[in-house]
Amino acid sequence: MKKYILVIVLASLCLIFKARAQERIKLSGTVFNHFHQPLVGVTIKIKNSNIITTTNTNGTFNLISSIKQGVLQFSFLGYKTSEINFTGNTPNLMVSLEEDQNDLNEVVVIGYGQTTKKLNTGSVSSISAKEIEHQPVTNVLSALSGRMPGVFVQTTNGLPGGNINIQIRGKGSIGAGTTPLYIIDGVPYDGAAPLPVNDFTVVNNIAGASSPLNNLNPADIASVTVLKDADATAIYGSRGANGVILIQTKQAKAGDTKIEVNIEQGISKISNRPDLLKLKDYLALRREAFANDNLLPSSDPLSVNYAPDLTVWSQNQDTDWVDYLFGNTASSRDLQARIAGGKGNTTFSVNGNYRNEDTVLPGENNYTRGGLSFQLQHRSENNKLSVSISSQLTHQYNDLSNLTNSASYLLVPNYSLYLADGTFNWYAGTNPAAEIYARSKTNADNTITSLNLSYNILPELNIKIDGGHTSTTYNQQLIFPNRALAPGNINYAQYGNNSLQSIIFEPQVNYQLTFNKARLSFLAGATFQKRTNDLLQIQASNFKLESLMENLSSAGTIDYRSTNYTQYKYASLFGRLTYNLDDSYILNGTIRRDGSSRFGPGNRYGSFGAVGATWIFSNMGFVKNNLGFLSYGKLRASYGTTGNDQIGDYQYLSTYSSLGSNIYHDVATMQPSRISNDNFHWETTRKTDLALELGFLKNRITLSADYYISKSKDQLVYYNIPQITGFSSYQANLPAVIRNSGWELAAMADILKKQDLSWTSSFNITFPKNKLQSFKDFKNSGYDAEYELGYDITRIYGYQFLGNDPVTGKPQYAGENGEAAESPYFNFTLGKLTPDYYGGFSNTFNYKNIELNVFAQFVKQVTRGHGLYTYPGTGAINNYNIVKNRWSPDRRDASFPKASTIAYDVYYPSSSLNVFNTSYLRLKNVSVSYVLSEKLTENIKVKNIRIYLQGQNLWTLWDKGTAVLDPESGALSSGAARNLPPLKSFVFGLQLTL
Amino acid sequence: MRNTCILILLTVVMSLYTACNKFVEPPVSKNQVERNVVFADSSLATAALLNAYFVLGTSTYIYTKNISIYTDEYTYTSALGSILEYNQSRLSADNYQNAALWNTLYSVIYQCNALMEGLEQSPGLSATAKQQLFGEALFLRAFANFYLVNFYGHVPLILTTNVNENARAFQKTQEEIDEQLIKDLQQAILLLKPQYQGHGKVRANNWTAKALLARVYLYQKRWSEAEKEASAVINCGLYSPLPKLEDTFLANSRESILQFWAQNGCVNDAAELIPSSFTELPNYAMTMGLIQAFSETDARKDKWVSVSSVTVGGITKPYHYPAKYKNREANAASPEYVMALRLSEQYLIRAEAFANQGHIADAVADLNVTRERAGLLPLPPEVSMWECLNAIAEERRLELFGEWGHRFLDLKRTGQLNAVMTALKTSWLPRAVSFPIPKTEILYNSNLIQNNDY
Repeated sequence: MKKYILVIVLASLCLIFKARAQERIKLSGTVFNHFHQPLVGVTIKIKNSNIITTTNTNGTFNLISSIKQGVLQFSFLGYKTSEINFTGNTPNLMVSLEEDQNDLNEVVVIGYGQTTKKLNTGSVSSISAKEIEHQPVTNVLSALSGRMPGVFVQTTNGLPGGNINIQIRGKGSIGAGTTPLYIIDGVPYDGAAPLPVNDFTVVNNIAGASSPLNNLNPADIASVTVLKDADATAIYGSRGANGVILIQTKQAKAGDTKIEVNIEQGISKISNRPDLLKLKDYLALRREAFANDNLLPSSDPLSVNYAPDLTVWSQNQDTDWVDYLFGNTASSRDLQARIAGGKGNTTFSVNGNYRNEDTVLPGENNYTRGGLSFQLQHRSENNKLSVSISSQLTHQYNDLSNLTNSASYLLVPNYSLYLADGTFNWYAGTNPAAEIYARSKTNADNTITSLNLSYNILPELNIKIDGGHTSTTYNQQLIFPNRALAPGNINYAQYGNNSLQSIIFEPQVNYQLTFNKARLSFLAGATFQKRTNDLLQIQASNFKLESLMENLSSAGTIDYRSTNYTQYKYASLFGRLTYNLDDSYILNGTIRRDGSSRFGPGNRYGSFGAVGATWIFSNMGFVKNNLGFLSYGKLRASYGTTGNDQIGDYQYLSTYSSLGSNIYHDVATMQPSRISNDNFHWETTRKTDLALELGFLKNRITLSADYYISKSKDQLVYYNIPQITGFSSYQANLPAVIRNSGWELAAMADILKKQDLSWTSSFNITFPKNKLQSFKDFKNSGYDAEYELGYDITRIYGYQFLGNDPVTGKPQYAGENGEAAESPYFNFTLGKLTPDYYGGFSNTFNYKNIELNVFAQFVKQVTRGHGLYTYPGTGAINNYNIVKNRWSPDRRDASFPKASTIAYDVYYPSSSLNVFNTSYLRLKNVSVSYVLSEKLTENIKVKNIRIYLQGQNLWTLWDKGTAVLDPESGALSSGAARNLPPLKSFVFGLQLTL
Repeated sequence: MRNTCILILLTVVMSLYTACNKFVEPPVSKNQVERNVVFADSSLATAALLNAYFVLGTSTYIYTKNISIYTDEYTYTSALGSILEYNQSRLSADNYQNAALWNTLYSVIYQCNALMEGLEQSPGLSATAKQQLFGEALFLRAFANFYLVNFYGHVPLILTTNVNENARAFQKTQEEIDEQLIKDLQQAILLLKPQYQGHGKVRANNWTAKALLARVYLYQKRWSEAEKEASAVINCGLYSPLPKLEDTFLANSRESILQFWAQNGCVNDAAELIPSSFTELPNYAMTMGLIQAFSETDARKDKWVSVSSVTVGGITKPYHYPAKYKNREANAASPEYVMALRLSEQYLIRAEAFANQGHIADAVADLNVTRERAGLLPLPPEVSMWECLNAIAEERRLELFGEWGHRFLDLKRTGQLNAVMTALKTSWLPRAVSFPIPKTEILYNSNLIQNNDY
């Protein structure tokens, strides 16, 4: 090595002497993009000369010139050309190139690196900070909804902190998680709230499961990139099967210190109301049911015919329970402030944010999120070493009325919350006026810290170390005082403390070779990750002083205490080789070998890999000459494998565990933890992707079409087994192949592009298909009832309703042969949850300083209703308006069966009567913003003032005659309990840049 | 230069590779114990056994009160749909409460099987410890199987932990299950000592196994064997004389043969059964039929039944609720445990066995033991066999109400269930003599056949 250093030193000295001898000057420096990332291959030319060079892999350049004064011109595809005057020797120039908007050369973040939209070989969609800013969302995932082909986002709960489902290219797994891998600034993030143990922890409140990205402030995000195909995801190997979501946070740019302040104020209502029976119709239904059965409603609680709704409660009081439960107007406040700047080699940014929301629920509800993030970047004088650190601290506080169940909206309209003596009426088993005294208080703290070190050993050789630490703690208290509980229960409180710590370390090497017209880049790296999860849960009851229920020491009894500790370790090696010929042919190969502690010895390692190829045919002479209108044309294809290890820890071990709640004879008992299986191994998904991308009229119109096929095999599932085995499931690989395929189409057009007026429009649509392709010994698998070979795995099955007997009004269901039968067949395919298609349509208009965005999303789908629990007329429970169309002697062709109080028909809720078309078109977002003219702002010494008005979930077109709360939130969640329609919000905001 | 770089790279990659291999060594879990460790230590193995008792005394026990609603003992006055199905005696195959009852019983069977397999392979435990734990596991397996076969009819018989076999198991006939029950109990009797383990009577001993065996023989109409086993328990002297009515359900009460230990001296579902005040509507109100079955002088109506005066729709009426257990919340001073087997039942088993063998006077003598404690006049010995059997049935109804589905099981085994229930509930169907096999069981094991008409 010493020898080489000597050679380098000598060579440089020679150069200097040589320069001096010929009286030449030296120009050197580095070229960056606006993320302060070095740009490779930038052409640097001295204007009106033939002296020319390009930047190397570090983005640096050296020029020796005999011209001592002039203009240096920097040009790079996709960036605006920049010019700099020079006189004499000019070392260490720092040049930042500005991106040329709406170009194919915009930077695309990919796994462990970046490329451009044009040169990318994989299937990738992204949205920028700008698109996120338009949307008043608490969780950044909501902002992706409908914007990307192949990415299906669904808000299942509209409360702050509520859950959001995301599925990339279909459901590829029956059992293991289908959550994508989240990477924040290069560091995998898994801050998901822990799963419930014994039915309590963070999830046991009305907001449902908590999305991990609630921990992230949307305003801190610069871009969200979704990696879909094998080429893009195989670098994440075993964790890439469900797709990867890369999140880049905002980075500082060199320049004057800027202060940016953003203030928002908003209000929200529920976006959608279920269509329920009013009192008059409800009572008519119940009376009719009793009359049909020849029974008299009784006021005696011991009678089988007890019907307090007809005999005891007021016959006039008509409560709209939807109004009562979700009818409030929620308000929100949001404040963001950012200071960013830096000189030369060092840049920084500091951001503080605060958000506060209340909810549409009754009672006192409050959600607060506050955060602080900072970032510091530094590059050494010689540009060899660069360091960047970033950190995000977030605190969330969520204090909600713990209404156990949002399905209370099906309370009967004349249900009275209070009995005659003023106490709560618990007949329905629920009482929202009482339950608001039950509180769910969650404190969540989250810290993400990452460190990136990079050093250029040689111009073409770079080593890099990424390190990250994530710490998430959830501290929860669920308080159930006596008045919030049905009589017969004793006050209790649950305390949960969950902490999750994850450390990751990823050394990487980049090597780049440049030949004549070709570039070969090589990446190799390793990942070491350790994650520990610590959990403490206590349930205590019998508090004498209810005002001290948050204090464990005032509990009379400790019912339950439990600790849990799991550790997950993960290590891998990965490599990528990219060959680029003339920016026209690109070949990309990826390989990764992963080891995970979740598998038993012998199954711990798996290898994954992919190849991708791109041909930019618009660079070909024959295209350029003959098809002038075609400004861009690209064909790409990829094939490869990725895996999935989203299963619980230690599943391969046969152990006993102590639950903490099980105490017998003063001994904490031990129970078998699971049916162990040390044979299960990686689940793998083979992904194929074929795509065509086209640009017309200087890329004013771009189109892209992807066709993908993903085949997942060896599904890791909690294999369902009958309880006679002692457990309901155990961890195993399913000998099944699930095939997801589909078309993804996207189009974008600059319809108008004038000086003062522009109109950009984009549209995307996805046609997903899912099927269970094969299953070994399917008939005996235990899965043959739930699934059907060759059919979608989100199959809805049940009884086939054939109409009512016109004479008796009794519903008829089909037997196995399809004809009406006494014992109907339970396993007809009634539909599937996978949408037929979904997509979004976005329009942006700019007129002078005004910008208007309009975005709508649509889905064609069916779902099982969850309002029709019981047969019409059975039980004191409200029904959807559609049951008005029920059989009666004058309406013999009605769709719903005759009312009855005797639940003789258990088939009804699981029948085709309860499957609905929930297709919808939703005006998801409209935003208008206005930038005040510079003349105005200059006077008050403000650089920029922008005011805006945003609306979310404004209007929905759907068939109201369906028994679901909302077509978006209702379709995926199986029950109504944790389901709340997304909120309709209006937000007014002001952005100041000082 | 390039070659050197590549060499360095290769070295780095090689060393990382070995580092990776070491890194993913399985970390230690802090709150789980590996199976072989459990069976190397008698206190851990005992903790594993006690969990089966825990499940029976909490989960299984709380689901059995639904059976009192299902028959003619209680009425459910709240609106939870899955329990309302019990009110109408029309369970659907996906009734969650029914599935939970089934699941807890099979979970107990799994735990017993796992324990027995673990004990067999354990090198570390003493022979005495093994014998004790093995005997208790056999008893508990029999206890669970007894309820399964009598509640559900044809059920699979699970004797191992082999998941591949068990997941595809076929149902066995009642006779086959009974045969195994008797085998398990006879072996348990051989293994178990007459003394209880630890304080109280919360773990099975030799007499406990005999008491259950007496019941099994009774159900099979093997009168002399039932008489013999019940006699052994009655005559052992540990459990007689019967304590006062109000002391019967206290922890460690004289007549208890097996109680399930209850934390804080309060049974698991006490707060659900006992209203918080005397003006509140009980969730589980006793039916008028049952209340009227008690004669005026029957002290059980006073000691084991409480009344709440409830105003509904302006009219105040009394509602009776079961009060065998009095502790609504923790009570260290006078703790109560869940009664599983008690001496009164043994007297009634023997009475029925005597009567069926024609020994009417002996039968009446046994029957009078519980009658007298309840403050009733003794039945004269000169009654007909038919009268005697009727009196025993009626006495069982009053003495054992609300306990572990006795009423349902008695009506079922004597073939009267359909007749009695059809007269009481319009919604009763003949299929209701057995509960449905939970729907998901058939879904995941297509070898299982649903009970008739479900």
